[in-house]
Amino acid sequence: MKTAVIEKTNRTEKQTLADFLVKFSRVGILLLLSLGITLLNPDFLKISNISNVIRTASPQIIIAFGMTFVMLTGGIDLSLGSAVTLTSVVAGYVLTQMDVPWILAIFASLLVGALSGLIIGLLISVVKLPPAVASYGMLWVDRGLAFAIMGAKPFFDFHEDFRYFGRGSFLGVPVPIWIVALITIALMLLLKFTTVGRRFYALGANSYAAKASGLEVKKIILQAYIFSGVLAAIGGLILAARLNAVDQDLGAPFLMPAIASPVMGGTSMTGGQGGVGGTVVGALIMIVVTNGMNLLGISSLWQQFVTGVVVILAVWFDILMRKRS
Amino acid sequence: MQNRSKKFSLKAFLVGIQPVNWVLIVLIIFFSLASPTFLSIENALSLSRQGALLMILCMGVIVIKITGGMDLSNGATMTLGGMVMAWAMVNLNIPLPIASLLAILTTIFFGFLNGFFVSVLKIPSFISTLGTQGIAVGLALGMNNGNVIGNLPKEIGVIGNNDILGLPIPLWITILAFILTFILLNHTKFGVYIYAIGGNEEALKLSGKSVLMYKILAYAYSGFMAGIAALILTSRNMAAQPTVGLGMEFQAFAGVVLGGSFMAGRGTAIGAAIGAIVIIVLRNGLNLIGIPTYLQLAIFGSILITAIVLSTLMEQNAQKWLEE
Repeated sequence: MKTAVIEKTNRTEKQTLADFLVKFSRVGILLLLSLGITLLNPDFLKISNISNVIRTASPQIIIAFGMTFVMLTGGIDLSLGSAVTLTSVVAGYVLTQMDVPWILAIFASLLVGALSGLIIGLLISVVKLPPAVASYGMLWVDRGLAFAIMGAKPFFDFHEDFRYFGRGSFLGVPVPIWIVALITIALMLLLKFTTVGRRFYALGANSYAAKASGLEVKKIILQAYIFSGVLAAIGGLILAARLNAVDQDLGAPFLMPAIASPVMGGTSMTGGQGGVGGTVVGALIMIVVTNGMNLLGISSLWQQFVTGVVVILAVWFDILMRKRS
Repeated sequence: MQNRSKKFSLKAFLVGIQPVNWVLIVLIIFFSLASPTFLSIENALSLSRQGALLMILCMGVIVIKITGGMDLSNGATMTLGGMVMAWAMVNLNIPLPIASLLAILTTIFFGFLNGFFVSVLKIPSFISTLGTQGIAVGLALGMNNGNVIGNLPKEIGVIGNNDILGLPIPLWITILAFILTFILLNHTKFGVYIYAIGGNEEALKLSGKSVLMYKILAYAYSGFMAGIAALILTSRNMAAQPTVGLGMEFQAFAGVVLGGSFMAGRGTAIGAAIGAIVIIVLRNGLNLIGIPTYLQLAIFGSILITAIVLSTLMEQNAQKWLEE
């Protein structure tokens, strides 16, 4: 046990240089892809287009942050797509079916996201279900609840002030980009400088050592999944505000990019390594790939095919890299 | 090893099979009181037609589940199999038997792919099968621009809609699939390895046995079952729709877990079959008592989570009792 811990720390020490190079290579991949697309379409690198791409991508980046937290603890959250659907449907319900101030829709949505995450956390930490099984079950509960709340009719036409979060701009920069930037900085600080953040790494790097050194493993797991649910809700809210409508298929396409983005950004699926900065790069790579497909005239019907391939390649590459070092 | 696997199946019998039987009995009593048509022979026969797909998929999933994996791709590969079959018949004028073979080969290929990713590349099964799910969905959508393939030759309807000796053909196929899975799991070397992989993969590796091949075969078997299901699906609908089977993987997962396979090394063919029946009965019963479709999924998901939690807690307590 003791040697295992020492080995573990040794390994992480050694990896810092390799990690740096790998991190750099990811930014390189992003730049290369962007350049490739610019060759296809010279308008791509225009500021207006870039800001538009990031604005559209902002929910995806925020949702991938949730997955990053969960992955840091060595878990997975397969329910993220459905959590996005459920939280945006809840917001849509409060906005259009209830006679209350629009701000309550945001609270309701965040609360539901937190609850969904809490349940997954409890299933994992108390009932001891594997994370994949617990979150896969919640995927369908969330989806089912979204169906049940919606009944047969989609919600649309939301309050003007609510839509500001998806469509408005502040100081010339779209509001979703502000939100992404603020959340990125906040989460970076949280992960780097607070005990709450450091504990995610400690648990993911070595759960036995974490337990042995007296960390409250249950609490850390609950926190990670609640973060994940709340971030899914924020993503869902921005999405709902931008589209001005919600339906039952809104969130599902976000699951696979949410898995691929952190992994491509250097977050290890086995836990303990990575961070939100890498996830931003990973998410941007995913988005540039999708954009490139559109520019090449590939039908969006093939999108799932490509994300499927990318997810498998990204995870495989991650496993290879960890094995090497 | 012999002794241990015996103890395992006994425990699985005690804590795995029992609760699901009770659930089934309660559901049947409840629905037959709530709806007079529930316990009719007609309903049972139509159930056996509708339920065949799920039951057959469960027979594949149970094998993977025992090794400790998940299969999230079979709904999508089943759909793709149907699309391939219909496409080949319509565009290449390939006769039905060969088109059927093509469908099964397609799904088996995806099974091999899953097995390769999981055992050779060491990608966790839920990621591998989620990835192949995306690939299969993309192919099924892209190959015919998202459209349904109809206008199939009439003889395709035989498997899904005809009877042999008064019983629907899908029911016969289901029974065969069950017997095959039962024999494979209980009376072959393959079965011994599957349980051993789930019980303690490391020990098996240390004993110098090759785990790789058996793991790949387990996923390929699930692919094979998805192919059989694809035939019935396409035959029953007389058409291939690119999204028709999506979500089936959850029902198959749920059936297998309800049937007692809630952790690696655990589960039986009989348990999976009963679990599948529970889900078929639940779906049918909810329809018969007039619960709207949009509420069914929520009820369904909540029941599943509750069942998983209860059986896991019971399992943990049972272990405590055994230790005392």
